[in-house]
Amino acid sequence: MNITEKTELSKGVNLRFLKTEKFKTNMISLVLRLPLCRETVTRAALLPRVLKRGTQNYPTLSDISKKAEELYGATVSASTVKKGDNQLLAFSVHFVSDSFISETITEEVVKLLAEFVLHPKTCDGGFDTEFVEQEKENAKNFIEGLINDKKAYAAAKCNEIMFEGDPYGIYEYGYVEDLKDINEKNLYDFYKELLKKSQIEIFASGSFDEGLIKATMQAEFGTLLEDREVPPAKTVLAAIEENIKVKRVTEEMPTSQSKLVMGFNCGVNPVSKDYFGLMMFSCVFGGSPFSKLFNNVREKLSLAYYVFSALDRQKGYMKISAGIEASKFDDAYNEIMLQLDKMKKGDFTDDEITSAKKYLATSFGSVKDSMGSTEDFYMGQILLDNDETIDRLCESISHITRDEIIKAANTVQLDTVYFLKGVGGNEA
Amino acid sequence: MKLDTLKTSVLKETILHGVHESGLRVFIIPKKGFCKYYAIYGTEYGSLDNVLKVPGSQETINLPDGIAHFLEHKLFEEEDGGNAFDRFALTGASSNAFTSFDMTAYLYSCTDSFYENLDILLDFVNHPYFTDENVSKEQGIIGQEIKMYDDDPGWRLFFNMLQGMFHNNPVKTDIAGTVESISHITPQLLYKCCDAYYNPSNMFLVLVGDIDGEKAIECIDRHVSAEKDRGRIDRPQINEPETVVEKKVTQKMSVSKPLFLIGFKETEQGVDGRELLKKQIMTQILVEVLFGKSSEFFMSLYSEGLIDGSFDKDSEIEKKYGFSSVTGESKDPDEVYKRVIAHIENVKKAGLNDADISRAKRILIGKNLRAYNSVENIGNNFIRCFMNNINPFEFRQTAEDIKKSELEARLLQHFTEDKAVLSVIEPLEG
Repeated sequence: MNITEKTELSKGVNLRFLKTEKFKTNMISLVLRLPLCRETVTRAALLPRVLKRGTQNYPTLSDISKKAEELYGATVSASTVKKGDNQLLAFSVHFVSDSFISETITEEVVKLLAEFVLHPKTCDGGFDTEFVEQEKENAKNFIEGLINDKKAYAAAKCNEIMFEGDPYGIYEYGYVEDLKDINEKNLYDFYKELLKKSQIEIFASGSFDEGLIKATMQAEFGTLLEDREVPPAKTVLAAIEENIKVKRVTEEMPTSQSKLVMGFNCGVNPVSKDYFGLMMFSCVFGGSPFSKLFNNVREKLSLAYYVFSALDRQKGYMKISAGIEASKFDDAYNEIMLQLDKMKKGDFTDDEITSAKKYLATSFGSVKDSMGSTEDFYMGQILLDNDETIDRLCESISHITRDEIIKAANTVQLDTVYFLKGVGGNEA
Repeated sequence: MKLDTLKTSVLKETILHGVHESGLRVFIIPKKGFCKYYAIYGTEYGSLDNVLKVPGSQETINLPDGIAHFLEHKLFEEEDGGNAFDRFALTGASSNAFTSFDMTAYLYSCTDSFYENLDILLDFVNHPYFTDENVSKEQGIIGQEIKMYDDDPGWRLFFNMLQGMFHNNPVKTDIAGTVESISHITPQLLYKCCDAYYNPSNMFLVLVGDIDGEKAIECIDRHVSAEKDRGRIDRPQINEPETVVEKKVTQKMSVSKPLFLIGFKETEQGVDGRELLKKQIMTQILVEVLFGKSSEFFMSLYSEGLIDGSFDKDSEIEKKYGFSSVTGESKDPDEVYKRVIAHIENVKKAGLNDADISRAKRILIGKNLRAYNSVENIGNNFIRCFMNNINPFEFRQTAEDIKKSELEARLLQHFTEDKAVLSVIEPLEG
């Protein structure tokens, strides 16, 4: 998939095409960029819920769904995601290419997307009151429901502890206690501000008549396309701290399995060569099925079913996650640290390096074979103000040397150890 | 071996297929433009197979629960102490495996060295290596996997429903078994299962990508031999009554809000091919019409706060088991259950509406097209079709041809209260 040069539809609003003929569907996404902050996170996370409830021309859930279903089940989605210290409000529509059905639906689909973004159901200068109140309740349930998925819960807790006082420590779906101050008026005002002031990135993936898409976008999104002054997005990296005191927290819960999550500062510039070294390090250490952690913590010592490391490029930190027996905390922790120590000393083979390079190349192949992942990759690149393509990045990784991997291993610094300790299982 | 061709002009897709001299059924789906290739090698053997009739003898063995899944884990292990993951790693493939009710499959995706990887796949699956030591080690790993699922409310909700639904059908048993049941697994049992179920006549190989059929067949010739052929596996009939076991199954777990799953039991077994495909699509259309996002049902319950965005619906109609279901979170699962039943009765009385049916068909056709976007999806969907003797290209035409009267008959047959089970996960008290 090739990304085109961006077209500036207006100042601060960019359109990019990701052109390919290989899929049977197309996707158009519109992403608003917001800084992640405690004051607005809950409101922003609530917005997609309210917007999905109804629009001016399709005032009920049933009306919107019927329209989308008629367009061969086009899926219109709206969501917020955390990327570095940013919160992205993304609207997206995924639909069948005209060439596989006996009608043309592309323009209708763009209109439907515009309807969602620009013409929500409103009343007296605010959103529909009932929608907002119900969705506040749903948001509350969702936030409280994090605990249902113990792996996600443990990861979120580790994140919160590790990044306390940092925007990245904010829970991306918001806070229950902040919901009470939100009403149909202030939420709508907040949304109107966003539409007017946020930087907007638009992606069109698939096979299109570019001219037609641009013209339709301009016609349908006219009011959104005003110039705007936007400050560059910034993420403060998880930097290495001098004299760090590792934060260790254990929480008990009635579960069969315990969850260990460890957070490491890496502090590596995500667009530098050092970052590629870090990617290679993480892949050999814990980011692959041939990694040190998989082969030792799981295969050799049978301590876990899942154990892996993962990097966050935007924020520059690494997470290790494992599901273990409550009584095996020390064994698992010590083995993980032992394997890290081996990486630091260069105790890994050339085969492991070769495997990691190939593994990462295959992973990037997966990104290129998926519209959603390709869009996500380029959105990340935009936030990093970097214009490397996937192929160029892959090429850079292929030149990483053993010394660069050892160097990367020696930069990571343990910051937080969170243990969700299972006490007793579930009742039958 | 000779490959025949199936084509569809609407989708612009092709399938090459043939039967290898060993009995292995081979399918190639040529795809250009994708970075990745995909291969999936599956045996028609899953958690449903809990009684082995040993081929060529009168011997019948009751198998411990979870053995098919255990075997899946163990096949990756190799004689020299290494494992197949490491071999795939050197050629850059990303490999995995899964065990379901009726299938165990081994797969990889890669961006190059496709045939080298195919050699590895066919080699390791056909070279079991089990010892007391490596079996005992695996009991620890799988023990953790079982505990992970024990803590997963969605998984518990699902198996509790199946236990409420089926008396004898082994579909009600957890795929991984229990810590206790897997403790009875021995190398000898694993070898017996391998010999029977991993015999070429019971297996399927599906390759997706820009593939040279000749070269793929050479790989197959190298690793799959007719000597291992044991013919079709004779399986005991599952005697399953039409009734359900329990109308409601409840478990308490640490969740924030009750979760519900309401299932309708499929009582007909043994259908495959076109008939199964049609039944699957009819059920999907009905589930869409009854409980889809545009349905009256969804909108009313959502507006009343009885269900939320987590609400979903599904149907799984297979050769040996089947059910349709709706699931979600709710403060009042019993009320949701009553409303589901009442809604179905209302629709039965009022009859189906043409516009609803037409939209449901469009959704399914759209979804079917979308499934062609990934080589993995194609491989995974197609291998299931082939095991069920279904031509995947017939999906669209079959969907378009389904008549309202057929759907109404299916509605009366499948969605009845006496075949319904409510499974609930309740929060722990205090």
